Amino acid sequence: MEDVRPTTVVDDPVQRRDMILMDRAREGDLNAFNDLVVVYQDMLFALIVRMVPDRDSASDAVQEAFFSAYRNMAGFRGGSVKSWLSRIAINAAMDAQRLKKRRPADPYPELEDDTWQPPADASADPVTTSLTSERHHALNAALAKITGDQRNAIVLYDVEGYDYAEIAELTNVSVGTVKSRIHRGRLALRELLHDRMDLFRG
Amino acid sequence: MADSRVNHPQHDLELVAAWAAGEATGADLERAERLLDACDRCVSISRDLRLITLALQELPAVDAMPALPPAPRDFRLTPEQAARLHPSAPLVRWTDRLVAAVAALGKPVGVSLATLGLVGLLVGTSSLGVPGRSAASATSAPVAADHLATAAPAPGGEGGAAGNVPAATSASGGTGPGPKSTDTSQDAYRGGAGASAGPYASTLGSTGSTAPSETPAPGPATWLLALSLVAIAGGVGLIVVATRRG
Repeated sequence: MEDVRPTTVVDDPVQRRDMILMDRAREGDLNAFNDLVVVYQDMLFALIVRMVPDRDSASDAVQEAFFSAYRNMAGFRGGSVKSWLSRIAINAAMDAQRLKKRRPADPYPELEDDTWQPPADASADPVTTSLTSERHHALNAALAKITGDQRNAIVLYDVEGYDYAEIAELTNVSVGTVKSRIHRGRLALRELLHDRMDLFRG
Repeated sequence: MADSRVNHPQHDLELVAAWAAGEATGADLERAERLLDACDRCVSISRDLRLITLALQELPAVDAMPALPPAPRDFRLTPEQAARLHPSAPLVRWTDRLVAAVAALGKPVGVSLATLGLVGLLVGTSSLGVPGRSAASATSAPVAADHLATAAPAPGGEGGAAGNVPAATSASGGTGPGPKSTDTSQDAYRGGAGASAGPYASTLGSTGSTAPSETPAPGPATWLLALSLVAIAGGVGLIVVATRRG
């Protein structure tokens, strides 16, 4: 018999909503689970596509993450549904990377995909905006070329703000290995961006 | 600062990266500082690493994105997917796989099994004493004979054990001294039972043992027949199931 007792009551309205949806989903309400999917699918895709430099693979990883979340709902023990889903998605991304390991990385997807652009800040200086955009593109392109392990560690640490211990737990390696991957990854990025360092000095 | 470009390829760049990240401590910190004092290329690298790190941290985290790029597809689960992923689904999946395997392999395996069963049936039947082929009983009789030999010592000679089974010895032209049965096939069919009902019943009786005359153990031929029948039944069953699933 699965434990489908309601999880702890929280004050944060977003978490509260997520808990309610999760409790209903665990009782068998597929619509409630799909409501969670709708809420978090864009966020998870944006996270995963940074780790898996191929939109199709990233998309498959997100789908697999939701499958895994549905399969393992009984294992959810409260806390943030968003964090729980993110962890599952990161694991799915690493699985996807392992599957693609022998294939050379394609250019980072956002570079090739011009169908969506972040909304421009109206108050920003166009020159600064252009420079920032170019810097981001260069960084993303370089990120796509380093190893998956290094990319995961850098994206999670430098971009998403996870700490070493969290990354170590997520990726099943020691804190020392996480640090080493980050340092080696940054060195690899520096090699790739060597000719474009002016972008970063401006 | 000395420029040690000649030695730079041997320099520990991971140490430089750790220093640039502010994570070199103790002996590593001292080593890093010595290295950076001696190599301006390492200094340049550490400077670039800091700039790259700052730029990475400038990339918007997913949580901080003012707007998220839309996911390329809708990831909502269909009822079919949900049913497949439900915790009870593994049992169903295994059952489905088993049935699928039976459907795929059922016919060839069933035919093979049935054929083996038929062969076994033929061999078993002939072993149990088809007239004129009672020599085959020599393969089954020794078991009973061995069993009885301990209770009833053979009258003598090499035919000792076999002598307890007159049919066997007589059919194979054995040299055992026991009297030959006139109804060879019948004795052979009886196997071990023949011994108790045969001429040596009195011998057994004289030793005080009456066991052999009660329930004889089935011989190998009987087992072969039984297994053959099971194989035929199983084979036919597999063929039927595979045909229906197919």
